[in-house]
This record gives sequence, structure tokens and C-alpha cells, in this order.
Amino acid sequence: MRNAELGHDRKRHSAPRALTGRYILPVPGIGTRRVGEERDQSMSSTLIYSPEGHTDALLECTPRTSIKELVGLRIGVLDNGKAGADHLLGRMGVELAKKTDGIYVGCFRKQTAATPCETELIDRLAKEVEVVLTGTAD
Amino acid sequence: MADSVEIECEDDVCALPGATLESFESARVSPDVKIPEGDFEAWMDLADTRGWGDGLPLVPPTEARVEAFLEKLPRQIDPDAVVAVLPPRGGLVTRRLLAVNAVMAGCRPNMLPVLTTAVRGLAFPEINLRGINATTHPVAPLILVHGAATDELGFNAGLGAFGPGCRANASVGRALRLVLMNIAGARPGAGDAATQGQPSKYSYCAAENCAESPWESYPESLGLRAPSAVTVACGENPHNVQDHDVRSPIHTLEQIASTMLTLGSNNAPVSSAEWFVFLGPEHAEAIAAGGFSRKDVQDFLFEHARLPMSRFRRAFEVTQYAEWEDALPDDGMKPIMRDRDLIKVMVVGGAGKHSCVMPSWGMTESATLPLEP
Repeated sequence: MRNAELGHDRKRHSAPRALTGRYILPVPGIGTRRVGEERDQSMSSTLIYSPEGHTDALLECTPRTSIKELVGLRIGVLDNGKAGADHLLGRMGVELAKKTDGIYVGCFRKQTAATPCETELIDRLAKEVEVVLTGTAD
Repeated sequence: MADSVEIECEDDVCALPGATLESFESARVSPDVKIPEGDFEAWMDLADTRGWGDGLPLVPPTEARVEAFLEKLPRQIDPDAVVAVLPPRGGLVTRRLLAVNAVMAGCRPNMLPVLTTAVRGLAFPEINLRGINATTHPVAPLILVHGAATDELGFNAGLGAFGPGCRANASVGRALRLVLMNIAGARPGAGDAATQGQPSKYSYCAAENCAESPWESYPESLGLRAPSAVTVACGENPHNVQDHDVRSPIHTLEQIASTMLTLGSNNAPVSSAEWFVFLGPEHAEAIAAGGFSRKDVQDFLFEHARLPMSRFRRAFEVTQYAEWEDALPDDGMKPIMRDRDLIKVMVVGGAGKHSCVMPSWGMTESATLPLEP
């Protein structure tokens, strides 16, 4: 049987070093009350654990908040393989380049819509553009 | 209190390749909270506000309930070690966090190992969980329990195994869905783009009926010899196959092949996709009595679940066919799967003359693992 492989990025999740960790959940102590209700300070309370936990910061993406951040940058499109994605995203890339005085480099296509983008293509995008427009699902 | 992170030496069971100290330090955290004691409505309001549930009532994950789960762990297992990273949110999974979700789903403490093993399986790259969660297809992961754990933990492998009425099947399947929503971030509209969804996204768990199977267990057929094992496979709801005549094994198998030839499934354009064939014990007994081994069943279905290539071309104009498919003439009979080993056969259910098949999402491969603590 295969050993359990964790995560979905072989390169990043391939034991970069012999680090193993013990993760201590935060000690809870945050009160809450329903919207519109005053908290009854005399009432005893029950600790409830969050079911969400922590996220791997390596996998987090921060959305761009302003088009000003994109001025003068090279823009590429990652076609996710869905029908019409290249047309829609390509047009968006061209228009975005106009608005940002940027350069529309072109459209790159991953092999299938259903699988993660190939590492080689990600590396190529990293070299050729500073901004990637892409989509998910349909 | 501030978040705290400690790093210390740990055994390989808990090792998380790729979970670096840096990633832990900068990780976002969803904080624990307090609610008025005994106020179930406050708890449900909180869960609604946070988007923590599946829409059904949830058991509050109090410290005592969660600790009851963790007390069952072997001493060498650290409940706070990260055992998987689940996309798209990049959620770090620990046994403590699994216990929280298992409590919410209504599991008993002794069911945590099944959930843990299933999550380990979902983290295999071949499962392609990012795609599973993000697709517009209704796909849901199915948990299948094999071996001693079935009886020991009270899973239903018999009558109505895919249906309601069994706490183990219902709650463990539900717990996995909560894990996907809460930890992996697969909430409808944000992380789960399923156009319509499907009922099995609430709970999808059954057990193999080894006691009434004429063949070795499914894990044994894969070369896995363990007292208990868990399979995770991502697909559609079961598609029923009724054959009350049971005139011959061939008749039953032809009915199954006919059901597999649905052009609306992802398996039709994706010939690398798996098929799970869940034989009812009466069908299985009749098929085996006719001299069919599990491999014979695979061979038969591979040879008979075929349509003319022209039919596929008409149905899927934009599909990128494999070379062998492109080479087929219009009247060439194309199997709906490229290889017979993609057909996974086991016995599930009780009395009656029904079986079912589960089409796959497509670009995903099931995983079968020995049960771990």
C-alpha cells in the first residue's frame, strides 16, 4: 500500500526537512453573544471548540484589493480548460492591461480542467508574468 | 489568549511533510468561543453565523465531549499533530479537530479512527481533493469500512447500508462532510461549486458485507491484509441495478453493464475513471455460483459495457479522447473504461435482488488504507 501522502503539491509537501510538529490549539477565552442581545454576565458559559482550526499559510491567497496595485505589470491568463474560458479570460486580460497600462502577455492552458496546474506551467507563468487571471469551475 | 505554537520531536505517525514552522506561525486561526451554558439555541445560532454546519442540528463540541474522543487515542499519538492538509482552504487537520467535527456530527468516540483514516486517504494526491471540492459536478467522497471494525464499531454492511438508521454510517459520513466544509473550506459557493449537489453530500458511508461475500474482502483483493481498512472513493450517488429474474449470472451482469452505459456520467468521456460495483449478496451469491470470480466479473463488465465509438463522439464533441479512442472507427465498440482494473467490485447490502454502481467524478483515484488510530 502507498504511504499516506499529505497535501496536493508533491514539491512543497515532500518533507523539505525533518520537521515534525506539535501544534497547540489556542487557549480559548473569547466570549460571544447573539446579535442584539446583551450578555448576561451572571450566566455560566460553556467552551465550544471551533471546528475550523488553522490554515496552512502557504496555501492562502490574498485577494488584490485595488487595481492600482497592478499598474504596469505583465498579465497572463491561465485557461482552466473549460469551454470558452480562453475567450472570456483573454478578453478580461486585454481589458485589464488597458486599464493598468500593463502588458497582456497571453493565454496559457493547463492540461485539463479537473487536475491541478502542472508545475512546469506554474514555473513558466512565474517567469513571464506578474499577474495571473484564472477561473474555477464553469 | 494568543495563539501558541510549539515544535518538538514527534513520531512518524504524526509527521506532516510540508507543514513547516513558518506556515504554522503565520496560519490563520478560527478561535474557540463560549456560549451560555445549556443554551442549545445559542449554539445553533453561533453555528449558523459561522457557517459551521450542514443545516441539520449539531451536537455542541464542548471540551468534555472532545476530550472523551481523545482519551481513546493510544498514548503515543499526539492529538495536536497535523495529519493532513485539505484544499482548497489549506486546512490543517489534527485528531483534536477531527474529534470536534465528529462530536458535531454525532459520532461515538470509538469511531474517530475511521474518520482519521478516511481523511488520510482524502489527502492522497491521486484523490485530487481540490478538484473534488471545486467542481460543478455533485461528487461526494464515499467511506467504505472493511473488516473487523464493521461489527466492532457498529457499521451497517447489510440491509439499507447506504440508507438511514445506523448511527455509525450516518454520523461518520456526516463527520467527513463537516470536515470538508469546516476544515477544507468546501462550502457551497465558496470552495464547493457543485451546480446542484447531491444527497450523499450530507453523509456517504457504508461497510463491505464480508460475511456474505463469496470472495475475499475488497482490501485483500488489493493485496492489503489488515484487520480493518477504510476505502475512500469520490463519486455520484449509487445508481440502482435491479434484476429480480436472476436467470443467470450473465443476465445480472448484463443489467449492471447496461446501467454503467449512461452517457450522462463523467465516466463516459473520462475512460480513466473508476467504477464501483456494489453487488447485493443475493446477486453476488448467484454470480459466484455460476463460477464467476471477482476478476471474472471485472472481465465481463469490461467486455460488455461498450458502445459504438460514434455514440461517444455524438455525445461529447469537445472531449479530448485518448489516442486509442481516437483510433477507433465509428462502429468500433469502445469500453466505457480503458482498463478492467478500474472496475471495483464488492458486496454491500442485505436481502433482495438489487445491486448498484457508483460512477466516479472522473479525475480521481480511490484509496484503501489500513485502519489507523
